[in-house]
Amino acid sequence: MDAIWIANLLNILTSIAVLAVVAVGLYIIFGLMQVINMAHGDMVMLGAYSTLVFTQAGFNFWTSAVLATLIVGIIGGLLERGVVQFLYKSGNLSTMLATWGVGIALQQTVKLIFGPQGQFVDAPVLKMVNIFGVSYPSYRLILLVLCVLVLTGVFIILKKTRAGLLVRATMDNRVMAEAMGINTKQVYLYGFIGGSALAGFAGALISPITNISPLMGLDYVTKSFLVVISGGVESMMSTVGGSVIIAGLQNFLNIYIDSTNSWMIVLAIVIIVIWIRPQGVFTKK
Amino acid sequence: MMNQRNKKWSVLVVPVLLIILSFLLPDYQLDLIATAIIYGLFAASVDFSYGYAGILNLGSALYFGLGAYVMAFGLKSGGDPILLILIGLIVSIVISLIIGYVGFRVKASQVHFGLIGLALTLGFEQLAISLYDLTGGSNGISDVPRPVFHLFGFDLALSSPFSYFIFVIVIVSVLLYVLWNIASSGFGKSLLAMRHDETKLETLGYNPMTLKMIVTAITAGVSALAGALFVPISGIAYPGLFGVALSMSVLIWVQLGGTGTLVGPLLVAVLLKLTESSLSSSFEQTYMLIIGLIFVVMVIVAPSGVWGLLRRFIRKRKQGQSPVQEGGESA
Amino acid sequence: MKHLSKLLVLLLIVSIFAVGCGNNQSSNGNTNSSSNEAAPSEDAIKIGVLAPTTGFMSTHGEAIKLGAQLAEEMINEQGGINGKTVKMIIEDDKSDPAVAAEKAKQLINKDKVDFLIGTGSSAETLAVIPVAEKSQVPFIYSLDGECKTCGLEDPNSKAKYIFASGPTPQMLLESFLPSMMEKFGKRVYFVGSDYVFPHFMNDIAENIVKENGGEVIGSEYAPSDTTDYSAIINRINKEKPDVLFLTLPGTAGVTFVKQARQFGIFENMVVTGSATFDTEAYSAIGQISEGVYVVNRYSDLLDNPENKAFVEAYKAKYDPQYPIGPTASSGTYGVVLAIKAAVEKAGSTEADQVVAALEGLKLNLPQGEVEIDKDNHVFNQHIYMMQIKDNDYQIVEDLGMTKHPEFEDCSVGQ
Repeated sequence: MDAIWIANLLNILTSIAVLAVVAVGLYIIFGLMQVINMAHGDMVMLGAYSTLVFTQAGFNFWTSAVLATLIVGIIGGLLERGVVQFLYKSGNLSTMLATWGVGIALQQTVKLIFGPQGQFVDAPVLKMVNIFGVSYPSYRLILLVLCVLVLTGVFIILKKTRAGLLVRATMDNRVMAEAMGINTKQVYLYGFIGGSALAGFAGALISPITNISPLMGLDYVTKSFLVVISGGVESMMSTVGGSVIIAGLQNFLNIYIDSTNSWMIVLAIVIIVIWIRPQGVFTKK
Repeated sequence: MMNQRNKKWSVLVVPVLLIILSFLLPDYQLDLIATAIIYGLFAASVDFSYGYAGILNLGSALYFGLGAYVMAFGLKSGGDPILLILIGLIVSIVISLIIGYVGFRVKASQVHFGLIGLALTLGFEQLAISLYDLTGGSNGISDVPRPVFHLFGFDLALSSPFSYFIFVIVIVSVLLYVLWNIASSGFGKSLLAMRHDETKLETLGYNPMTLKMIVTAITAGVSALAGALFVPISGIAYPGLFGVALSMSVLIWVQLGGTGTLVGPLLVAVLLKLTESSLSSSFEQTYMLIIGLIFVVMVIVAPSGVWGLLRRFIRKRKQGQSPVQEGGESA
Repeated sequence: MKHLSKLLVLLLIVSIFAVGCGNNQSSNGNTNSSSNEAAPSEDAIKIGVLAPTTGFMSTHGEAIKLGAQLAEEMINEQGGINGKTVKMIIEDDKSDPAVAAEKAKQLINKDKVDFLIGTGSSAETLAVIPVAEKSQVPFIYSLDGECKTCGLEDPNSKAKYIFASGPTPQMLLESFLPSMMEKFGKRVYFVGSDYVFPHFMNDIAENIVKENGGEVIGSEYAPSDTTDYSAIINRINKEKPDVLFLTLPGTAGVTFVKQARQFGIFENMVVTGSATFDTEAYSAIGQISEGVYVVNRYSDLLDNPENKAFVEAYKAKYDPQYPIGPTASSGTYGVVLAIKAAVEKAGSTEADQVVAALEGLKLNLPQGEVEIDKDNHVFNQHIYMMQIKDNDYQIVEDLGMTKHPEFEDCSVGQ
């Protein structure tokens, strides 16, 4: 295979992996708990800004990334306790509106503190590495590997551990779960913390390769909702599949045509996909 | 709820008062107020689908932008304004029907419709920038002339801010009246019923899908009209009209003004737009943050908006209870 | 619910009256009669400044505002213009063209300004031009960009009241690119953001490259909010051009440069561009754009008495965080000085007389010698090749006085 193709392939894989981490976070909140969190993209933004603040305060990049993930997890928890928990009864529409409003408030706060212009974090490693005969930025490889590891970790937690079992039991049937003594309130809280932390983690990781701005979350919230909608919510793997469709397709098309047109094509495909399979592509029923 | 006679009365009186007022104001002020009222119409149209039928579109600016761009492009190349308004209307309605047809397929999920709308408006904003031969790209289409209508052999030139202001007042009043009548008709009642319980409505022989599609089309049409009206005042159409910021603002207006009242969102839009333009820029950013926070609080404590709170407030007072507590809650 | 509908009607009327009257008061007397119209404009010369201090042009807007305020203070300290004080009325247009047009109308009709200056993006400028031209208020816009000084009806004649103080792409590139190719090689690769200005800029640049015996290896565009440029960077690395020319205004440039450095582009070729490494963005691009070549009209290191005075006053007043006097600040400052010179020459603030005085006006500004072209209203000015080194814009070469060819590529209103 041509060297440029390997590089292109690695780029596509990286973008899929990053989107998948954000989307799996949304899958936990939206797919499992049926809560529409329009502020999910802003969790990515907060993750990036937290990393910026910590690196500027003199912390090493990796420490900053971990701290940022934790902080965004806590913010997610606060969002659930402070806003979302009051709206479980009022239904989807209210949650959607309220979290959308929280998103606006977060963006405005960040804009007030940091200004609307882009901010930048330095990559922890600048070297190029040789892989399959092409030289590729080592940070991007690390990013790819970390995302895959985290996704595997989340998969195992959801499938094999007691925590995952509790989440799945609650989502299956809340009343039944409560009757069996599961504290469903806590499950919702932890779900929110976990989902937000994943978004924050993704935000921290992409901070050295992108420009950090108050509105950067918008792109992620739109894409990850489209991922979850088109992939389906049957299992975490359908979300990963959805990421392959959206990020993979867009970045593949991007090799040949400009990204505005490739995004419009992806959108058209997503609309057709939802038309044909409203329940999602990777759903068995 | 609203007294029919009172309603007709106010529909007639308010525009007349505004027109009288317009004799006293300088031109640039008329432009400012006309713009605010057009945003108000946009807010009312979004409220029509959200407040009555419970359809939430996160990308409402799409239709506003389409209406605006068609109008700007057409007026610039000397097209007939009525024809242009119609084209903008039809394009918007067709797109809204496609989104609706796909988005409403998953019955229980409001996300599908809302998000496809958002994604599309983001896409259109990008398209407006990249198709610069057609749209003027990021510069937009500027120096658009004010329209001249050719009606029944008469040429009606709305070339002054004053005549255009009166035109806007008349059109907005008529549209608002029409929306109001639809909302209080049997159709409007079935919408409210659908918002309440879709399955039950279905068993009564209605098709929720059809209802939703009709509502979406009406909203798209009125929004596009608002967009078309907007263009001649500032003389420009630009990609920001498809922007997320506008889609967000309109939802804020609807929520603060009170869902399902049409006039509430219109009023709030007018008020906020007029305050915004007289605010100092240093306060502007904090102002947006405060509005955002009030919005979130409103969604939680007063889902039906200021209007609903007021209604509750008055009801309580009539029942002879102390209004102080209620007032405290809204503050 | 009778109360509600009455309340509603009342509220609407009161609110609109309140806004109407409130503003009527502030523009007291001016709107009603023409007899006392001249009275307020005699106290001070009013300059309306459209500064996008919020929104995506905010760094430029801030610089415009600082430049205007500094000019106001310095001129008034030295006795004003013809004995009158100068008053800047600064309005934020929020980087939004509709707001810019609205604010321009307000400045002209309510504040009765004598001149308009400022605006950030081309879109804002284009929105204000028809307003200013039709109201017959001289408008000197600050930023560089395609020529916009032609008439609204006829793109080959000049607009009466519109002036451009920044250089056009033709002026920036006509000697800069040949000079770069001579120094580093003739194979050039172009990358731009996908909107009007970069397309326009790169089209002109590509023509200049071809006319001077160079080779355009590639030409690419990406939306300005692109977050991942790796596909483009891969192609550039494969082609190995001598010079990489970027037109990625705003943060797009930083994102690109940052990723390009990780992919090792800077070791393989010379990087340059226009509107990409602006001083206003320096806080973000500083470190990573070390070594990049820049073409522009101003550096704080320019050695002339006007610039020394400007830099000294600027540092004393604002204590800037970075060792750079932003181009937009010095540009705005220069525009105000030009207005001062023209008003003094005309002996009046009457629009037509000031326009006549501005045409052909020669003066020395911080950026060097400037002559306002009497045929196309563009400021003829020096252009410099610079390199970002040691935290500043080091002057490599003065490319000399440049002039925009007539109304080439001028378009207002699409």
